[in-house]
Amino acid sequence: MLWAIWILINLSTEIMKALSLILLAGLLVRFSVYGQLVAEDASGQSSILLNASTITLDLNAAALAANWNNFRKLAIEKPHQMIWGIDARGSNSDGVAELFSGGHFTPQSRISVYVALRKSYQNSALELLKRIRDIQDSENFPNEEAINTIRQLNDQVRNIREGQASKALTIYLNPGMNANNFEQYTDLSTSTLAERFNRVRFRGAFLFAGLNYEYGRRWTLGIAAGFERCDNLDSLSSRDYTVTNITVIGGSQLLSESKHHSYTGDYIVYNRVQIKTDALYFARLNDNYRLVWNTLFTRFCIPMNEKKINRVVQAGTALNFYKSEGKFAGGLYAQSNDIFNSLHTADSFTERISFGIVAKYAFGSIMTRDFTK
Amino acid sequence: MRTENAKHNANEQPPGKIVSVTYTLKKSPLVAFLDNGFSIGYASIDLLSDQETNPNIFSTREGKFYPCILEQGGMQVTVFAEGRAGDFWTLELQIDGQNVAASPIRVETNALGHLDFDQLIN
Repeated sequence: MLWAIWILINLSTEIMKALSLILLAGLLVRFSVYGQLVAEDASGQSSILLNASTITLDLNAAALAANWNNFRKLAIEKPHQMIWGIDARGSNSDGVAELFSGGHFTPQSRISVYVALRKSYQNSALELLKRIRDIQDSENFPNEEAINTIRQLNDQVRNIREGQASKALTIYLNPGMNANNFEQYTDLSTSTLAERFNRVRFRGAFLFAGLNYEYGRRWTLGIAAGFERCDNLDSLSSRDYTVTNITVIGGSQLLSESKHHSYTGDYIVYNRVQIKTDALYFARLNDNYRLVWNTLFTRFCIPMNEKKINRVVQAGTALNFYKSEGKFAGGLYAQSNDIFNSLHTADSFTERISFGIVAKYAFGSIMTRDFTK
Repeated sequence: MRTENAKHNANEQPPGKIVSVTYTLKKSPLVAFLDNGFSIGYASIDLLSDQETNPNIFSTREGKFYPCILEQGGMQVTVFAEGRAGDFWTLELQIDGQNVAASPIRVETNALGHLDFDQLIN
């Protein structure tokens, strides 16, 4: 907690800015909010599937996301359950200020589906409860003998559960596509300045396989590994350009301007293997507030057949708070985008750490879609 | 299972009177109720059909009720559920349209990640 307070104090300016934007978003969108948890890194990725059908407002990466899924079925625990979902995410790579000020918008988007199989480890209890249900559905029910049997079976269920922490395993596949649309500036000699600005439309794809393990009331562990075709837009530098054309007719000059927000640098499209891990810790802070702490998340990015791209290891930790009924969640994260300084961006480890604020909303209109009927 | 009910005439009577029960069950987002793990007065409650648009609220459908056994000592309520630290569920019960004094019942996650309840309530 002290650590969180220290970060809060140091980021007070950012927090004020964030709160203003949250209020702005709240005014713009009047939906009831509930049922949300945050378990993502700075780019909004996680190896853990959580019951968090959401629209996301990530104030650092300026990401907006929505997902549809059948997580409502998870309200009832069965021996095996099939889960599916669609996740769409769009972001402005230049940050939230650009997004909200109506500045240049560079869309990055990502759409993916996931199909998961969840296995519960409560099989003995579930089998006994099925026997109870069969008795309750029988023709002569209720009668004293049947009720005595139910009492005995309930005792057995209780005894089994008293020595057994809750556990569940989820295996999933997550294929998807990602896209970047932006303008690239190249200073090669061209006949006109306008030709130096080229529109780039990148289309990539990915496939991840993941494993989540829930143990007791505290822990959920996740690991995912996959293949991704991606680009290095994040490592390019962006700049605003103004091209001015002057037309002279007689004694008059006509000035016309065209503005460009373009990226410069060595643009590379490549394939990589990515491994993601997360370790969530759940805690009750007081009657009103809960904590989900992503104690350590890691992202290993391993390029394939591309010497210009370095292997990068990212790691971080994220504190997320939500009200007991799940009405609102907000959090802070600290993340190093290059643990081992492979990119040589900064010699000092602390300079390679970024901080962020995450505010995540679950809007009723999305979450309440009834997929069970 | 029906053969268990046909041994003696004395055993064919329920151990109490049948009353009509309605309920509202609310939970925090990560709570999961075990399948067939919710009974009121020995009647199994069909949570799947009672789930509202908000997936965290379950209630008796309008105009419907569950016929449940009210024993001398009260009504047996059984819930088996899983959850994470700080999760909870609350249950409001009405018998013949009247609120039960013991409701709302509120249960929080225990050390094993369970939110179980198996008691007679009045």
